[in-house]
Amino acid sequence: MANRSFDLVVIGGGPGGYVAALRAAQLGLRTALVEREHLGGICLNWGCIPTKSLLHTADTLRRIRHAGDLGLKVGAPEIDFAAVMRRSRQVADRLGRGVTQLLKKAGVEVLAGHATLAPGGGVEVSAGDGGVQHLQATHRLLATGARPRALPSLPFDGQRVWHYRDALSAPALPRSLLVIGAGAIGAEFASFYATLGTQVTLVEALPQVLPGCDADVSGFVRKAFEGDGIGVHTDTTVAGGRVDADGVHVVLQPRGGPPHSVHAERVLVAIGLVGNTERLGLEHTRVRVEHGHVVADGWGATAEPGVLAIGDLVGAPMLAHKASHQAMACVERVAGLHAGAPEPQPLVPACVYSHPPCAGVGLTEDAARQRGHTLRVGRFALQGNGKAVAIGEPAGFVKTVFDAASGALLGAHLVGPEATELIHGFTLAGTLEATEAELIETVFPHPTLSEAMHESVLAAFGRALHS
Amino acid sequence: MRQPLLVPKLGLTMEEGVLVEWLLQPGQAFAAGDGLFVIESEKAANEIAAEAAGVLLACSAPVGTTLPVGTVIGWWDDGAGGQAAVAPAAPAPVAAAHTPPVDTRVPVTPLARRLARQRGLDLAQVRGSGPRGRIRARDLPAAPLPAPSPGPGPASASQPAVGSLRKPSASELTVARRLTQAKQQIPHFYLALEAEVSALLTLREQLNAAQSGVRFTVSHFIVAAIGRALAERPQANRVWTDEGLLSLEATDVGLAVNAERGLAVPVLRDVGRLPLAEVARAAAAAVQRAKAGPLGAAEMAGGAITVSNAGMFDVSYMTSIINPGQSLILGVGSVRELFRPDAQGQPALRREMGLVLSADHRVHDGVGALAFLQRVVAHLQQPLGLLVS
Repeated sequence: MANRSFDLVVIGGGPGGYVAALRAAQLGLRTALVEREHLGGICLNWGCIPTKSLLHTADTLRRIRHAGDLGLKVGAPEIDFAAVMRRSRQVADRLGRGVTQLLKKAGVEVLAGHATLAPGGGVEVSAGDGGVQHLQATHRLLATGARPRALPSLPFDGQRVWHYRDALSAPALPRSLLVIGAGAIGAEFASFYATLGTQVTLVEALPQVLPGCDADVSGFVRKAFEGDGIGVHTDTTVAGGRVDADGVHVVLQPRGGPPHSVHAERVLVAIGLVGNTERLGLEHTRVRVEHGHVVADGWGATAEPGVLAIGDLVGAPMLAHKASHQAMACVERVAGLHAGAPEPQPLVPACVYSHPPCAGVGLTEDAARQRGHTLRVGRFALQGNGKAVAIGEPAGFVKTVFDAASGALLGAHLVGPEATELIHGFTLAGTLEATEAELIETVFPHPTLSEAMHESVLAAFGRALHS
Repeated sequence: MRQPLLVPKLGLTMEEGVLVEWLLQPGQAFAAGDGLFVIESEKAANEIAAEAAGVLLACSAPVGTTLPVGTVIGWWDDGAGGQAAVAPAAPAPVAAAHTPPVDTRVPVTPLARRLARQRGLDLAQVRGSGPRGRIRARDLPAAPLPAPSPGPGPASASQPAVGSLRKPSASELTVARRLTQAKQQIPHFYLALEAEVSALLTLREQLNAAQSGVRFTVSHFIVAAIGRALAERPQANRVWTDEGLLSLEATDVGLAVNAERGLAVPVLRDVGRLPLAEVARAAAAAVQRAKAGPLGAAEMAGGAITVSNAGMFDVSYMTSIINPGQSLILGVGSVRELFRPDAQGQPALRREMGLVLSADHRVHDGVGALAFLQRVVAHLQQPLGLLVS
């Protein structure tokens, strides 16, 4: 039973944990990382990355179907669903090996097993074979992530009632799928399965799909979903469910309307995530857990000195890039950088890779109004963008929200082709605190979709050229 | 040409300093040697003088911040052309009317600059929290910074009127900070001995009477004696640093000088290897410089020990606080005439000087420090040896 000491022991090898370990190693901290399943975490293995593989398949399929519009005669494509899923897994595996290599190169000691905090600065690692190792650490960083929240009336069974992992490893394309929850995960799977031919119904308890998005973007996505044949029910909750031999009967309860029943071969429950706070040994610490998430400040500090927490475990926004950003800030602080600096308040963009894709950063128009800002809002439709028309994807828009008095960029929201690749431009502008003056002064290359970003800013100040 | 102003390294052990005061406003011109700002090192507040003439462009570091050595705290224009040069061939307008806004070179985001203008804020008063001290919108106060009220107003009525309150000056704050730090962080212990200085005083009178080139003071003898003791016991010539125990090679000795601006401690170089006349010459020059104006940082850097001679003030013993960065300080009292029994038990007139050595217990133990102090006393009691190197 070895007892070894580290400056930092990271628990969890997802985009929060492994980035924390890499940065810590860069900064010269003696670092260990404990992962109980696979490096890269949910993001790489069961989230961001494999879904992007599936959605790329769906996008390619859609393009092939519309190849005739581009002057290409192509026969009806045939879907090898098993191969689609297999490729998604291969992509995840390849990147997982990459993370292993990176950690090895950085000199991070990686341990496989389940870690719990032990009293007195210890970490106990239980391996699958029953072996137990004791580590001693000056700093212990919790980055254990989150898991899907279950619906009490429809518990996960891996067969009929799926969570995202099941949806990522389905043996066959379902004829019909009911997706409960129209957040990013629900919307992406709805989009993927609908494109491949599944009859998809999307249910959301809140008044709009993609509840965190700007209302204009959400409305646009909803219309596009409905145009693709997805049945969308917002303001609707699930009143009950029953699994039978052919699928699942689900009783939907629209707000202010009569309940009605729908039947689907499979149900995907995507109603949110809950932090993995259990079996961590938190009872040995003063770490507080509220609503399923560890309470931590912007530096990852918890109520227990020397115990830090980042990523999905500490709550929304539950995004891989937020976890990685927190990881770096947290570890740099541990290493003595940023002394006296205020808590970080990064601008965190959010992306949804459905069809149409969308992305946003900062405040929505509604949130900005609620905060009492007098606004200047710019909106530029992609019909006016040369590149969008040339590639045959002129659906979508770029919306920018400015504070009228200061010219501060409060928010930016995009929907349409490459929205997720474009949003970084506004994130950069917002982080550098550019005003409309710097954005207007910036030269955007022609012909690109990014010109729509420029036009949107011009539009906010009454200067749009192409609309 | 725009040039950065950096936090200087003012001593071997200096890693950071506190920016205490800007002596100029952005936009003001200065000549070489003019004081630009005051940095408090571990030893003292140091006025940093300009190396060349120029114009102060911006003060980017706010007063009161602790900054690592090498941090950019402001910018100046050396007048050598480049981006900051004045427009050529301008028809000689009134200079003041065309002075550029003073905060143009403070790193600040476009939004923060605009908000500051809208709110009437002086960016030089704002501490930036962004990368490289960049001022961001969140760093700005919501409204203009209130001007400090010039006197006690009605707001202070809630405090009992037991006296008048005054804001300490920058140098008072510096002294307070470093003394508190020294007394709290250095584990002091103290050793006291008397030195019989009849021979020394006689020798001093004879030397001063015999020539008029150098005027010897008691302090010169003490500095020389300490220098010799350091040379003989190099293990005493060490200081505590965060990296470890630092052994000094040169037998440097600091001399506390009560100057008009406050206490100054010029460090006299390698006095253990100099004859007394050289020590006296160096000490006299240093005292003169310290009394004339602020000393350069280099002149106050280094050394493991300082002498603080209070003999002229009628005090028997003085127990001193070690200067930060050093490990010893010798407090020197006045010469007292008193009778002590001689070998036969008969009263003998002696002239004694009370010495109290304060020592850093991280560096010195009692035996070692006492051996060192005894060597100092021995040299003071047999001062002829100090005359030769």
